[in-house]
This record gives sequence, C-alpha cells and structure tokens, in this order.
Amino acid sequence: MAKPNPPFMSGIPELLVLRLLSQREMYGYELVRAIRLTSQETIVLAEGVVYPVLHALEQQGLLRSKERAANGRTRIYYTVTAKGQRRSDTLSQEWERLSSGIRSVFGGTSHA
Amino acid sequence: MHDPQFSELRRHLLRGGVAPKHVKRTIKELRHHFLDLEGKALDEGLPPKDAAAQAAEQLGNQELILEGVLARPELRSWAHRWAWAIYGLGPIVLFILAIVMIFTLMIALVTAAEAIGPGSPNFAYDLAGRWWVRSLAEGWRLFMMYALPTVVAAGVCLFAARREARSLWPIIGVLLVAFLGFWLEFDIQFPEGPEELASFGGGVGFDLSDLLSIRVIRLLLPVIVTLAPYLWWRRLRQEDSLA
Repeated sequence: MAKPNPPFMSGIPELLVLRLLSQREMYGYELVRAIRLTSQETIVLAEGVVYPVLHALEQQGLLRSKERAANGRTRIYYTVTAKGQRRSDTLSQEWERLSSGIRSVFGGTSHA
Repeated sequence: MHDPQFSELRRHLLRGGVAPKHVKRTIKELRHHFLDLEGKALDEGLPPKDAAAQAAEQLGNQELILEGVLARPELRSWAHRWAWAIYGLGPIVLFILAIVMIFTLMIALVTAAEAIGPGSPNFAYDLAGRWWVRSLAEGWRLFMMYALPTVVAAGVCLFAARREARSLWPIIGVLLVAFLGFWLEFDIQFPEGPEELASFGGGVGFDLSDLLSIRVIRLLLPVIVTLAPYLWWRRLRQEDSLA
C-alpha cells in the first residue's frame, strides 16, 4: 500500500532551508538570496519569516549555528547537522515522489 | 510604519511565550537583515527614505513574522509552558533554598570562628556578650523575616517582567512568598552561661490572628515594595502598547 503523503506543504520551507544549507553554511540574508536565486525568483518570501524556520530547525537538532563577525557585524551562520542531512534526504525523496505524482495527474488531465 | 528597533514585535513575541533567548536572537537577526536590505537599496541609488521603506517591505510585515514565530511551539519558553509550576512552586523552592544557603553560611561562619578562635570553652559565651555580635544577630533575624521575602518577590517580578508574563502569575508567586515569609520565624539563642552553646533556627507558625496584628506589615512589605510597582509598570506598558 502506498505511503500517505506527509503534510508536505508545511514542510517546503524546511526542505528548501535544509537543502541549501547542506551545500554550504549561510546566514539568514544569504539564505534568502540563495532561495530567490536558485528558484529563479519563483519563490519570493517575506524575508523575515526565514528566522523562525531556522530557529525551529536548530531547536530540533537539524541545524547548528555559529556567530561570526563579518563586515563589522556579527552574523549567525547556520549549517546542517548529520540529523539534518538525513531529514533533508527524506524530505527530498518525499518531494520527488509527490511531484512525480502531481506531474502524472497533470499529464493525465492534459491527455483526457 | 517600520519600527527599526522591532520593539513592538519583541513585546508581542515575549507575550506570546517565546523564550527570551529566541526573541533576542530573532530581533538581532531581523535588524541585521534589515540593514543588509537597506544597504543594498542604497547601493542601487535609492534615497534613504525609500531605501528604508523598500527594505521594510522586503523583510515582511511584522505581524507575519510574529505569526511565523508563534506557530513554532518549540520556541516557547518553559516558563510559558509550565507557568503554574514556575510561578506557583518556583518562588517557594527559591525561598527555601535561600534560607538553606543562609543557614549553611552561618554554620560555616560559626565553625570557622571556633576554629580560629582562642579554643576556650567559653568562646561562644564571651562573644555573646559583645554588642556587635548581638547587633549582627538581630540584623540577620530582621533580614530573614522582612528583607528575604521581599528579595525573592522582587526576583519573581523581574523574572515575569523579562518574559512579559501575564500579571496573574507574578501575583500568585509574590503572594505565596509573602504568606510564607509572614508565617516564618527565626531566632538566635545566645548562651546564658559559660560553656553553653549558641543556637539558631527557624520554623513556620500558622496563626490567622496574626493577620489582624501589626505583624501584617511583614505580609504587606513584599506586596507593596515589589508587586505594586510591577503592576504599575505593566499598566504603563499596556497603555504604551495601545497608544
């Protein structure tokens, strides 16, 4: 029997954040830029909402943060933990499964 | 209008029960993010006022950010999650711990005094005859009965103020401390003759008739000195927030 879909829409910010931070460590502003850039401006957030996501992921042990001075300001850099990496992989697989299902639906509809 | 210090957001986060450490960090990161956005807009040639407006818009409505933080239960403080325990049991535990610590300190002081003293069996009796020893003992007794409950009550109010907690909780905490302090008694017995020992102790004595005596000042002191200013400050904050 097929697995039920997780509450996926609410997991999109987590997926994006974990995926991008698994490539390199970033601070909030950089991360938002990266989301815009890699999504080719299709995902444009109210930028401040990234922080509760970052803090909650850190609280869950999926991210680690480190303060570092840069350009005269203290930046808080985030990086993915091993647990976060596993979660990122799981979410990515779920996303692939769900999006291929959605593609099939669209494909089916267009051929109907 | 953009609030560059995010003070209103900060207040709402704390009132929503978000842990102070998360609030502090969120505000710090939002400020830096805002400055980055503003700097970028200025680099693009926008005048300062427009740059600030654009940065505020990109950062997002503060209500939206507030909603985003409050939707994360893992960011709530333990004092918010278990408020009844923190404000109901915490002050009593703190009060008892403070008493235990002070008693331990006194025992250590007496032991040290005996160790470095002349070694005479009349040492305690000799000391008891000195005015400054009697004054110190009376000072200690007054401190335990009047000042200590007030200090603990002040701690409760500061704790609640830092978290913008609902007024009900510090009211409960302060009243518990005030009543406990009111019924506690402390005493020092000095040796009546040579080779006798000094003793000190404390205990709880419940007597409702005390509420009608002058001793009621001990009950009112923590309430007047800490709770009344706290509630007044809360009211000012509330008015300030509504303005």
